Amino acid sequence: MINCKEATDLISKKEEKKLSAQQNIKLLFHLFLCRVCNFFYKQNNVIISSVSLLNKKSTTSLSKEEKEQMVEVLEKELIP
Amino acid sequence: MQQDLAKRWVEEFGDLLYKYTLPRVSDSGIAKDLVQETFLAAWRNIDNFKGEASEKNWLFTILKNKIIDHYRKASTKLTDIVDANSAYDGFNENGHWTKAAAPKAWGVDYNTVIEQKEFYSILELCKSKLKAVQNAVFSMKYLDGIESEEICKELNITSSNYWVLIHRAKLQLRTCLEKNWFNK
Repeated sequence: MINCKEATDLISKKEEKKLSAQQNIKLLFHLFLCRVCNFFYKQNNVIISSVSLLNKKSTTSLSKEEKEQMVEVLEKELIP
Repeated sequence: MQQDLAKRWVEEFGDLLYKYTLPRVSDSGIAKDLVQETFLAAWRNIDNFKGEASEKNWLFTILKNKIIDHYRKASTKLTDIVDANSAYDGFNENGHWTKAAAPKAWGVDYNTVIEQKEFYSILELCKSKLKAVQNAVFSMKYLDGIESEEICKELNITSSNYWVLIHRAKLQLRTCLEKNWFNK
């Protein structure tokens, strides 16, 4: 029987498809019995699927002042 | 002429570059610096731009290299790697969750929670609390979809380092998210 620490390790490995059949069975068995690790499993899934969306959800822009500053820095250099 | 070019570049590409960088470095100051450095590098190398690619692609190539350099700097500090790898104290000696760290029921629909805007601001906040080297590994994997072997090669870290870094990052993010999401 694996413990919760081992189960979370296997959950990570499972995500990378690096679990052996035996490890997979041990994990499924643990998840069958352990409510807390089930929470972890589901919540972990939510996190990793939402992180990739941070790309699209990025809404902050540079302010007018920040852009002006950037232009200034470039203008201070002369094109060779 | 020069002035027009600088102004046009910043107007046309500034936000695009910034929006790409910010989720990857989780720090607005660092993101701004990387965008500025990208413009500067392009500005200085403008003679080498022969228009084979679009200006946008060219700038993005420079930016992506700058981001990788930033990640590499973070992963050369061995002490930071060890720190990020150091014992996550969510488990006791028997491998059971400690009372403080045990995941709780979130009472949400896991399928729809990711559609909530606040969820993302909390996620961004929690991601910014990761150690730089953890954030690097995490961003490369989940934002850029890079395979673990490639990440190890790019950052010059061992695969066991990679594993512990990414695993601990996930544990930390979940804990942080739970704390901040449900203590409203």
